Amino acid sequence: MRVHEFITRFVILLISTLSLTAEGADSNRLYVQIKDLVPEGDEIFTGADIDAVELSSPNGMVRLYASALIENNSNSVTPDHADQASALLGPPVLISSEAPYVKSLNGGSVSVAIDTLGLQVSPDWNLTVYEVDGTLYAEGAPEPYQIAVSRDPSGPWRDLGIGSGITRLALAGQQKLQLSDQETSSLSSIVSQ
Amino acid sequence: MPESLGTIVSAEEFRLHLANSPQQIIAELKAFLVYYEHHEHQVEEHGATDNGGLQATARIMALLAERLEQLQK
Repeated sequence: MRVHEFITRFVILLISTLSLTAEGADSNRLYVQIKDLVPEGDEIFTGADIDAVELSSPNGMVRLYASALIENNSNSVTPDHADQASALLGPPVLISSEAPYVKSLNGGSVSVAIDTLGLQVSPDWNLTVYEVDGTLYAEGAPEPYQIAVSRDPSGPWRDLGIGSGITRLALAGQQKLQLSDQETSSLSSIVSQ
Repeated sequence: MPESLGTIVSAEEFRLHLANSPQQIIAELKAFLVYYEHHEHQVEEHGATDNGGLQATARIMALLAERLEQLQK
């Protein structure tokens, strides 16, 4: 493992751990709602398969992950299956192999909270939804979902846009971004280890 | 195209027929484009076997482009 990959992984896991343990006030939380745009079905892993929800600073040095499930309106066909709603919390399996895999929404929706740890989150911060899309993830294909954000768990929700596969949107909602080549390469190297 | 792949793609086709917003079509088109380019890269640069997956993806992309054109009229 190269040094910069080790440092990147360490910082990400550290921030993730802090995020999972911190219980900040609502003003220190960003709420994210994800609605599946795939019709409900009766198969396992139907619909958008959400692995993780990430809030990152413009330079990518700070990465915070969803740490609490606020509402789960997904339609699980196998309640006791590994496909648990909590699987979309924390970092993606692309970064942490110990992380739980994915939550399939199956035509439903979920809302999660991201603790911002008192950091000043500006509109140029980015929200990334890791949806299993068959590219960096070995399995799956991209499936669409609607993303909205709020500072209150009960809304009102502000639509950010529609994503499919791994999607990154600026909080300003004006600009859609792709993962950088460097980031994609970094994630690929982690996955291949 | 193998029948098994046709079955897999039919789920995407059903969803895309229901799509009613240009934003969704554009998001899906971009995502499938990434998917298509990734697998094309794996085949061309890393010797991955193409069992029809590229063809299936191309079929989906063609449908996405068609629906986008219809919705923009």
